[in-house]
Amino acid sequence: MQKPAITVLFIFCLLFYGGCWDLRDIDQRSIVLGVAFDQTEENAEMMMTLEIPLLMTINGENGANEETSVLLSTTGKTPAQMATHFERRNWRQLFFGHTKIVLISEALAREGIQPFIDFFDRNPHIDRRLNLVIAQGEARTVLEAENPREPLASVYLKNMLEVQAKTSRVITRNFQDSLIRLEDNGDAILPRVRATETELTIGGGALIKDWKLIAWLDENEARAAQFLHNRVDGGRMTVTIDTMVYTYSILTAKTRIRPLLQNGVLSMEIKIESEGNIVEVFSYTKDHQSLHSIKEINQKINQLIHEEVMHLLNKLQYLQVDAIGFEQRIRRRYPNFMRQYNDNWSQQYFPTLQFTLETDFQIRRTGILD
Amino acid sequence: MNQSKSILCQEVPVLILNIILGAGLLNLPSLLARTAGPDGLLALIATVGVNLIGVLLICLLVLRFPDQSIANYSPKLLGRFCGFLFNLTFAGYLLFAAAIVLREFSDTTNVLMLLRTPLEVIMLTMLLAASLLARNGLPPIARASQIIVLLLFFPLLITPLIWAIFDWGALLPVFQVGREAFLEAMTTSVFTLAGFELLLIISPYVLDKRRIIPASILSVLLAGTVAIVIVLVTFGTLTVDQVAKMNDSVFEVVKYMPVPVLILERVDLIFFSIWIAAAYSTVVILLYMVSQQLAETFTISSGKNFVWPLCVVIFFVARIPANQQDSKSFIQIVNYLWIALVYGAIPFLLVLSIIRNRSTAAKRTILGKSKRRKKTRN
Amino acid sequence: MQKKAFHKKLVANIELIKQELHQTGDLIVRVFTISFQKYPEIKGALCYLDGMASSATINSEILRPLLLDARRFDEPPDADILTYLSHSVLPAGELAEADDLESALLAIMSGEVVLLLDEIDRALTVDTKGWDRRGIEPSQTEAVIRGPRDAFTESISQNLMLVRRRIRDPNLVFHRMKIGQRGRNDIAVAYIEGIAKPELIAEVKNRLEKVDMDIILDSGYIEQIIEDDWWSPFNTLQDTERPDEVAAGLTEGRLAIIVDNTPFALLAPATFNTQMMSPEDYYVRWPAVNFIRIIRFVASFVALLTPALYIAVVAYHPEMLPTQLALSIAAAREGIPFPSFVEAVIMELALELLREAGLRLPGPIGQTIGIVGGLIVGDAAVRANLVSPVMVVVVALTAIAGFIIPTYSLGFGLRVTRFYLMFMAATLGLYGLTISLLVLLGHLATLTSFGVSFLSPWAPLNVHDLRDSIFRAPWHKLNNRPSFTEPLDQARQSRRSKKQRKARKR
Repeated sequence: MQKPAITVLFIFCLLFYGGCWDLRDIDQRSIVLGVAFDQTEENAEMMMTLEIPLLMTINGENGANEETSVLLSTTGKTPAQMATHFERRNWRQLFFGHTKIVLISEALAREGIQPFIDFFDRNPHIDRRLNLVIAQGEARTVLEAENPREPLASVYLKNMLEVQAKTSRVITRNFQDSLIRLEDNGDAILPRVRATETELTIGGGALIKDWKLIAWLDENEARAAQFLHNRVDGGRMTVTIDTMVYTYSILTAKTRIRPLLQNGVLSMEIKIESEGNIVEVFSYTKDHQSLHSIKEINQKINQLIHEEVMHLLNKLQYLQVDAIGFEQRIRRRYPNFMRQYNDNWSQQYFPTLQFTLETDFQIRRTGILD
Repeated sequence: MNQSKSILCQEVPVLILNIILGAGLLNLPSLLARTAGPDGLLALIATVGVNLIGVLLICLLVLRFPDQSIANYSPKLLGRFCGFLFNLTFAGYLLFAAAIVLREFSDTTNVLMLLRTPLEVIMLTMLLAASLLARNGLPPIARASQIIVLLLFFPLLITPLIWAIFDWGALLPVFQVGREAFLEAMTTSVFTLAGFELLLIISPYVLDKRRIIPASILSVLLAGTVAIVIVLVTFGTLTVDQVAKMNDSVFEVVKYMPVPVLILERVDLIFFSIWIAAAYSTVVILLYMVSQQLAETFTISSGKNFVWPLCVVIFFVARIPANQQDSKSFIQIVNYLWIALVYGAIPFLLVLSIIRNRSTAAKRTILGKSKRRKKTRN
Repeated sequence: MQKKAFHKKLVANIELIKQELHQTGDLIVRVFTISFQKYPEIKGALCYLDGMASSATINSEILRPLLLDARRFDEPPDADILTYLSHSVLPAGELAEADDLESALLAIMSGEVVLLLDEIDRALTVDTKGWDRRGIEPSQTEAVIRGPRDAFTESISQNLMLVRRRIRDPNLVFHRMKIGQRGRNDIAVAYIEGIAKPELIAEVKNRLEKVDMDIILDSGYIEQIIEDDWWSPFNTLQDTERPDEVAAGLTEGRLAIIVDNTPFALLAPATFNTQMMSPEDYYVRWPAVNFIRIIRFVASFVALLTPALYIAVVAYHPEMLPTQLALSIAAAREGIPFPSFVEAVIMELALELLREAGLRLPGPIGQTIGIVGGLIVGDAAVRANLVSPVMVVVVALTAIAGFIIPTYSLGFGLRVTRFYLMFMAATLGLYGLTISLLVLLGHLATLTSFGVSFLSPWAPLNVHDLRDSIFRAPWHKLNNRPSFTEPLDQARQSRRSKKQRKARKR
């Protein structure tokens, strides 16, 4: 029994002296919180910007005015190449385990976002719930923007995306969600961010066709997209009847999209169900007699959402972008039907696809007032 | 004391579950998605059904020789030389299976967890850890397996989180692939659910042999269910296309899953640890099986002393494939060996034993014993 | 070896005893003469050891009757004066005749008095043990809030009394034996006939008989010689200084080994589960106990794993932490010269140093050391950037969790294992930690205590015993004794008490 003990001890020692191949303490890594890709003047190369927190100032001991993060930029041909450039310049190893945001600038996105995906898709440390965001304008300026409330721009963006999800005015699809859509047919809707002088605005979406940005969606269109993605988790809508402005707050919403093949004619059935409250009635001439009945308000809200969703669908059809994945749904449901439109579905069939949209918005409560 | 070597019948499913739910399970969704697309799930269900027949065959053979392991009765059925050869082949298969499990495990660990650590170190530490338990015989292995099985069911606790990203539509369309692709999916996935041949070796040590059939069918069903659930979840969350692209899609599901941040932001490495436990128990049981099979082939009372030499052999065999694609073809060979064993050799032995009718005496005694037991109970 | 016999002559016998004891200084020989009314005088002698035998007892129960009262008796019968004395004269309770020198010497060594008479080649041994003993005091190592306070002492007779007082069952057996060629130490194997499995009793006795140690100073000697696996960092016999724990163990079909000169008794078989229990668990009501037990099991994992997990996560897999926490840990570690493994080892070693130092120092100073070490040194180390504040939290957590484990020996095992886990976590990260935990699991699964699996009732799964493991069922659900000991009589209480409970509800 002594021999095995000595062997085990020997192996332990060997392991330890020659070992610890992957050991790298947390303070020896450069935690990359955000990545931004921009175009450079020489068109052949691109610029990658990393947001790395400065550990010295994180705990706020050195005063609140100091910079809490640094932005490092480099140019190169591929993301991996640029990452190597960083490692040559940085005194610590890059660590992508806490990356929250990958920003792609508008100019780059118009040429295609495909080349940026694989670097992140292949990395085992990457959190698949990070957000792939298209920046309107320069991507680096988004990370540069100063936010007094949360000094780390990437964390700020990530939190904003989560909080804003309740307003349904942002696209809340994360990296893996987008990847599922993009790798199916190259079309998707990604979140959009704008940096102005004073603040960051998150809202609306970027419409991707064949991995290329072709149009922006405003915030109402984004809400319609969220409905179609079945990702609505709150939000408010206002309808005006006569002079009264009613604000409807969504509690729950559920969307069902079902392809229907009848007599060789394909149509998409979209059914949106929602429950909500009236949280405000805004009027200068308010008296209880003039309040409209719930039925009337319901009708108006349904009409509003119907218009919004149909507007988005028409836009998608006009641009020939199947960003919601209608084709995938039909392929799953009617595989034999889809075989005839192998490659040219989005040009040939999608623009004329029939949609039957049903909305069922119900007001449950009206606050403590009637 | 015979008691110290034997295990309860309730421990048989535990052992079988542990050996089936091993390293290969991670790869299973990707394998199925690549070969049969969404039909992979159906192929898997069919495979589980076929394996039920396989385990039934093994049980029937085992019950014909209740107090012997396969190494003891195969020479009686096949003749001395052929039996010896068969035993060696069986041991060789087990050895290769152990090597494959080890290799697959180490490769995945290298990819997901320890990127710079040499493959050899991972393989050696695993082998060393496994050999320490495998040397101690069946009852400790059964006990450790019992705890590990409990761990394996721990991931069920987080299934509710998956509902947020689960999409039944992603499982469609079905019945789209041809017969050949379906069969290919079945033959490649069948090895992932292999392991119940364990019964051939441990049967003499099982105390209550009459319950061996329900116990082993239950275990194959349970393992099959776990595999089906895993494939269902990966297909339903990541879609078949994504699964086919990835190597170890199960962890990607965990990384993708919305987890409320409590203590840990990412739970995928916790899953990874549990999976290490699963791979560990598989290696332990396989090591025990090879050593026991060799010991009984050469009529040595205990396989204990075979374990460490075997570890060295397994280490070098596991090092053979140059890369992940190489090891896939390596797996294919062992896969066909397994199919030949369970669906070729076992029925053949069973038929031989019935024809030669050598086991009637043994059968009579076991029936007599059971009747007697019933009487005493009354 | 042939036994040495007594001579006929008294002087020769005294000389013999003195010689055998190498003229030891504490031997007292009192020579006297017994005179009867109608009988010639007899010369006699008492031999005993100073301090071992109580002189008060000797005076009142031996010398007084022999020298004074004997005069009043008539002529003794012809048969034998020694038998006559023991039957009719001496009022002492425990008397025995010794035919050979060995047993007489052993009696002297045990604090008894040997009475020698002239012209008789036998001796009479009278129990006069009367050395000073410590009184019964509250338990030091297994203190409870609710429950009896008394603990074992160094005296075996007192200890047996403490057990017997709790179990007035005639089936309670104390099997006495003497172990140790030189120490000749008293040992008692306690069990309840009709509950404990006979094979188990035989096995324990068998192992004890094979013990061939020259002296047994503590039950730890016995424990380490008769345990199943001497390689393990875990103990497979449970040590306790609580008589109620022993009594409970006996009624569960376990055996107790009570050793003289130590307050620690041994219980066999012992599993991980039994060592995670405190006697208090059975005195306090069950909902509170279940809460405490869950905390205790969690604490055992915390004590075992926290530093290793810290190393694995911080040095290998920082992606597991929430981003804010990762950033603040990284910031806290910024500027610390040591890698996290060294940091952890330094702090854990410092903790062990403090513990040992606190134990060895006299009471009041020990507490001071704890405060100085824990607060001042810890704070100074953080300020000097030697360790990060997070590490101090981790160490404090392990220390506190370690103290929750009710059995000292088990806690010891976990403490040793902790360093092994830390080492593996430092070498191979979470993989190393998992592998080393699996090795630990494999080891625990291999461990047995007198044939009982150390992991019982979890492996092999014993559904019945699960009622008293992480959860303790209310008493009326614990009708049967735990089955891991395979007790002969399974029922602990009849079903009647359950019926009464129901009747009361109505």
